[in-house]
Amino acid sequence: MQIAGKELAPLARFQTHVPGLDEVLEGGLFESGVYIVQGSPGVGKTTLGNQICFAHVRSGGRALYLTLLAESHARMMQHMRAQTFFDPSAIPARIYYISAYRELESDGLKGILALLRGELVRQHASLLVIDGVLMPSDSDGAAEQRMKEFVHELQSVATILGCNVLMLTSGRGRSFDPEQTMVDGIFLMEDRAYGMREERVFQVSKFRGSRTARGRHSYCITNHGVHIYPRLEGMPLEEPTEAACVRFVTSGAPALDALFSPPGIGNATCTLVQGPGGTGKTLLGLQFLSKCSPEEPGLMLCFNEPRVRLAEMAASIGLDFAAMSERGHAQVRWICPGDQVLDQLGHELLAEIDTGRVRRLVVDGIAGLADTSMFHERGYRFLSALLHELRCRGVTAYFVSDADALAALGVAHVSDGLAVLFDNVIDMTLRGQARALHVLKARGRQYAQAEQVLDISPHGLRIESTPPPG
Amino acid sequence: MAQQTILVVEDEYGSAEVLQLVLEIEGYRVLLASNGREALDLMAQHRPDLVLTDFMMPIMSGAQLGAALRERPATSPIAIVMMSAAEESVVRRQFRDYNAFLRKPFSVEALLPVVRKLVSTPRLTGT
Repeated sequence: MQIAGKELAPLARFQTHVPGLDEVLEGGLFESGVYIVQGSPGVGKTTLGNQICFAHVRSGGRALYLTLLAESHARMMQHMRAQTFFDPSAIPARIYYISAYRELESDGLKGILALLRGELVRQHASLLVIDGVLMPSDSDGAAEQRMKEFVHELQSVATILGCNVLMLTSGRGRSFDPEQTMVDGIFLMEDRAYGMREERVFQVSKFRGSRTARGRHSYCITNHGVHIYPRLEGMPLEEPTEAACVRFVTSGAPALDALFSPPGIGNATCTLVQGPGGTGKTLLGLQFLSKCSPEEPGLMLCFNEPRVRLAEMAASIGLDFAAMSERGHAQVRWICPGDQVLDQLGHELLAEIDTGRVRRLVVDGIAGLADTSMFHERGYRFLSALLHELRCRGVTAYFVSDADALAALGVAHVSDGLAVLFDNVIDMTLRGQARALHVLKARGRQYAQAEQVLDISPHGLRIESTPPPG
Repeated sequence: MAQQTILVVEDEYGSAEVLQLVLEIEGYRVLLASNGREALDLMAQHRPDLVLTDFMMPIMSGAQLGAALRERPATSPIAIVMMSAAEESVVRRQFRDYNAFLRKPFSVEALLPVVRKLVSTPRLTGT
């Protein structure tokens, strides 16, 4: 942009260092901006405010934390002490906590502003958090006008002093009207109910100056503070650079490889291994994982069988599971059944893949992902984005799916369309006492279309083209 | 015996109110200030027997107030109790010449013996 021949420098970003937040904001807040964080009591506004303060002072800044109608500083610090980001040595030299409730009571918002001007200069603060801002009620026009003036003057102070401002408010059940405020951004934090379950969601309601990842994003609060998991399908997707079907990897079972032409599974493709329980899907995954090497490290994400049971299953086809994991080429992560967060699972999986340079992945199974609050609403899109990310990373993946399990979770509709998402589909069924395996799809490739007999023995998986009885 | 006066210097409204209530029940006269500057202004007209001050406050901190009191001969003998949610070592880096330290949050049982002891014991200069 140019004004009278001079190019305006782009606004500098202020990184919050809150995991996921700068990603959602596509780079962080803007320097000297005024932002509102709104949410009911208990959603983590104070944790977020403190977390941003401590991250800011770690990178050399100074922060002023001002409370109005909020918990006492002593109580707040007792809570924050359990957080890993809390550094008592930063207080009071780099983070200074004060209360302005008395000024609010005696002189209203103007009193707070007068106090703030002096304190921001005195503390050399480059970040100000105001905790416990009370929203005026809808019917109180005068109070609303005073709040608008307060925000406007705060913005002037922030600009002159080069200070970033976060206002934390419960909103008293009403939303801050983005049209009527001068703030640079409004963030909403809320607990969303899914039947008996609840999930925390973060949303950017307004953000001046840049695109953001729109929509609601899950977040968790742990002893590391707030962690936002941007909605996987809402993040910009990279275009894969590797052409499909130029390299092939072994499935671990030569007879299965031979069903494809050229033999093997396409590198960086995703395979759906579907079928009811007891047909050998997990064994097929273990066989695939047995071919991990230092060049092709592997990971198994297991929602069902614990490691000890997997070891038994691996032994039943002659695989030494302990040796596989001890060599370090194949890791197994068992996910505890319970209230898991879909995007947390997705992001943590991708992070583990990046850290371990994983090239062979088995997810056992999709029902584990489906047993999350948000899967019903957006499981299909989530899976589509996840598979895309895996392909971009050059990961060859097996996803195990049991239609009965998905139906039991009330997401049978997802299983119907799963095959479209995957490059390859292997269907496994029971034919009387025998197991059968059938390649239903191999995108862009020739493959044997006939049903195969799958024989499981301590000597391994044997696949024959002889039609099974029945 | 004249009623003894305690000056509570605290920016957190709720804490100040509770301290005032507890100390008044104990029979003390309580003055309130929300920062060090306000406390010094009040002390131009009142001479408390004890100053119970928070550490982190706007305009003038507890450490600055303590230093100002010790500098002036008229206020130098007044006993000071420093209160803070921060560790005492942090407070001592800025001001050491207080008579007692109370780590927030503290109980009434922890507060009252300290107050009783200090208001009944005249401070010796230089201690």
